[in-house]
Amino acid sequence: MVTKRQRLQFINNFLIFLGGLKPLVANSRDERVFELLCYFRKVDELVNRGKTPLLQNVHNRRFAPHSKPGDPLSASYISFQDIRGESFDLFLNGKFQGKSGVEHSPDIVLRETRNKKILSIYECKNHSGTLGLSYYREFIGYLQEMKVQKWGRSTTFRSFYPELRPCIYTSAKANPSSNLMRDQYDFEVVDQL
Amino acid sequence: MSLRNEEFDFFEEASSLIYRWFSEEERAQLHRELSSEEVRNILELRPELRFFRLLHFIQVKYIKVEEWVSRISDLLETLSSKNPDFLIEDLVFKDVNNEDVSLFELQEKVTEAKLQTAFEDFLRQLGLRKEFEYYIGSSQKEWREW
Repeated sequence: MVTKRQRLQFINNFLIFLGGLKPLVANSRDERVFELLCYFRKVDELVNRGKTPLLQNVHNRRFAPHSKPGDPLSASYISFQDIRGESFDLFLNGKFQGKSGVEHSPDIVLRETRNKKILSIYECKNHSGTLGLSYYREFIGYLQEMKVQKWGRSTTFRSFYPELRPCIYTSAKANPSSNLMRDQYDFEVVDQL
Repeated sequence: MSLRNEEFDFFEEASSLIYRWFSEEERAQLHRELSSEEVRNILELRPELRFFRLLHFIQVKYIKVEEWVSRISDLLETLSSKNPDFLIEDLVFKDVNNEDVSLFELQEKVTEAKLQTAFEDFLRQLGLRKEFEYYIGSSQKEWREW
């Protein structure tokens, strides 16, 4: 039988072990790695949907995307070509102008190369616990501001291209009450990553 | 889940130990998360729920990174096997101090540290592995009723 004192000692020891790891995950490194995971999941999904990826702004085979919001074309990103010759760009941490004229930076953005229309946005929420409803509300605001709502041209597009469905990627648990919001505003949530 | 006094004390003390260990920045992040879940103060949570919530925070903040870097690495391998021109030898990002971080160097370090194994061993030592898994797999409502 393990006593309370012994269990507290196990916790102490574990915290000492974690203390040694702080430099590896500190300074938002964990968040950047999480964003990269979400980005390459989306790349893989697009490739599985028949699109050919092309690396852009990659020097010496070193992929260096923006880590904080910046001009989308000034860092590494990936372009895709589909069988009809249409081309799309997938950006990480790019800055884009919203409907109101204000600049925003959704974590991941899929944009048409030719006319620069934003097709979809994907947000990465590196959280524990259950993702609060305020994050879903914020995401819905983004969809409207970046003109990727359910209605209009996007609806037709998304029925043919499910990969264009906006998505929240999170390490937290999805909020069960968010189901109705997802259906109403046509977005996905991939949780517990 | 009804707790004996000794268990109650353990969860109280253990939660407090972990919470005090967090940096100011980590506490602020935790509070932002909790407030989005409509929990104004971590003390509002029952001691066992508070304890598992803190462990989940640790798991996401410190442990998961091992799995994430390995999944990115697997995805890159799959992508290059499907498309020969898709060759990435390193992935570089900047942390908040503007320091360049190589994903593959980070992968080496976190793999060497065996984070996931250490975390599982720790849960086993405490005899709370199943309980933590239940916490992760269940909704807030189920937990509150447990």
